[in-house]
Amino acid sequence: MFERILFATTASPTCDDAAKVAFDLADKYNSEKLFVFHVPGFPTRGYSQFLRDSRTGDEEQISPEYLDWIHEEMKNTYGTLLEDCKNCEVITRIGVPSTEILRMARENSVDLIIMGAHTRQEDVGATRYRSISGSNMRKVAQKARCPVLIISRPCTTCFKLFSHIVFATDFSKPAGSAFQFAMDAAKDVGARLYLFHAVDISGLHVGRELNQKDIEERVAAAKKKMEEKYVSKMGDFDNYEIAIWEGLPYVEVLKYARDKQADLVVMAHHTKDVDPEEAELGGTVEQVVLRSACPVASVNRPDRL
Amino acid sequence: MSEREFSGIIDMNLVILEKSGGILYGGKEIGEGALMCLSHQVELEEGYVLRSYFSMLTKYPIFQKLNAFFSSYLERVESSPEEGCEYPGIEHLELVKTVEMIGYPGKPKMEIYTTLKAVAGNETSEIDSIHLESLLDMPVKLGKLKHIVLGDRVDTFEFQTVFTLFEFIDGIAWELGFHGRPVQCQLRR
Repeated sequence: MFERILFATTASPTCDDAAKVAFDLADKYNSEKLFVFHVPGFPTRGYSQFLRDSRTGDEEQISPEYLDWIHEEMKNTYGTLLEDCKNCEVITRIGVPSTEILRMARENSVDLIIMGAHTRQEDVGATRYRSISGSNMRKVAQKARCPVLIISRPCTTCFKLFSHIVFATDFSKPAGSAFQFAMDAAKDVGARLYLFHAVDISGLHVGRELNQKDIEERVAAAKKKMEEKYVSKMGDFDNYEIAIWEGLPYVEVLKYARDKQADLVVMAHHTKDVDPEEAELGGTVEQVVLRSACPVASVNRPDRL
Repeated sequence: MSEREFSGIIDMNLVILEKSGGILYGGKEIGEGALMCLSHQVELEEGYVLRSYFSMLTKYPIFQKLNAFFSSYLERVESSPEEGCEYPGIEHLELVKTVEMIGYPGKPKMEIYTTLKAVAGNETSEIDSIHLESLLDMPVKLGKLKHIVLGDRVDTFEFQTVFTLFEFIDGIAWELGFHGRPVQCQLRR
């Protein structure tokens, strides 16, 4: 399922949890290649011989020694993991991190990108005022042609042992791609697939307040849509469950994932009616990524499924 | 009588959070006007624990609208043991306010936020890996204000500060919203 994996890392402790998943996945799936990829910074201008470190903002001179040093640091960081990995390649490139990650994924036709949620370690309180997820993660999830697996907490179960996969949908077109990935993964590892939708009754927006009858109608309509859009495409796959809850979508997704002891949450990366090229990471996905106890896969295109 | 109570001026703007979940204003428990007290500064009664926080939410349900996760937390508190929900190696939980000057990335800026940390001796640690059920009977204390200048987290300045009732309710709720570790995976297999 994952022949070529790209693990995009800041080579800092914030990516340690993602690293474990990446190396484990490559091992269990006997992947043809695992690229351990790091972009230390971008040139200060054009073809400048200086780069600005993307984490600290410090200016560094680009020299073969500097690049060798980074390469060596990467090897030290992932020393034991690299020793056990047969088909790994450590690659360092200078440029804008999100652009280089996407370029690398495209050039090498990777099946899966694995990333941490943050570039640097943040206090939980600070995420309130900052971009809630790393901007590189956001840009990669927005434009990647393959699924992006985002790890923000330690994952205690390896992918092949996943037994509960939650697919959360807003019925948008990209959600169709996410469904395909979720179903393929569930079939591959023999997991139960939970098809979930949250009817938004948060009352955060101006408009007519929903009464009980309205809510029940919406729940029934969502269930029908679920049958038409997804169940009809499942063929003989019957290890699934449908759930429609009402509330604030990201809260309901998290509550449902917890309730079902989910090992993986799969979502399309933006809300409906938005062109994939122009879409920002959906607010719901952002909230779920950082608060979820399990990994979250963001999928929005069918190209590499 | 504390210096603050003695002055009588600041006292006008002070609420005391009881261990039982009640809120005292001017020595009397507040009723329907709970929302008016959100901007008041808080003091915690001796023996205040995290469970007291949830008792307050039960006693003043209007506060439950401040965070979308409250209903699920209260369900978990309801199903937890009534006592003994403590985590070994932690002395208490401390709500800290941070003022951080940031120079990079982006334009220079200043951010002010609260954080709930575990304290043991002189050490503080994150609590996001500890389940709510293991924290309910841990004492809660109000900490100081930390001033971090341009990313220097080693030489920080610390000052006495006050917390409003809103900062207290919202700060703890925000922190708990990021809790969770997939312990269920380990338990299941």
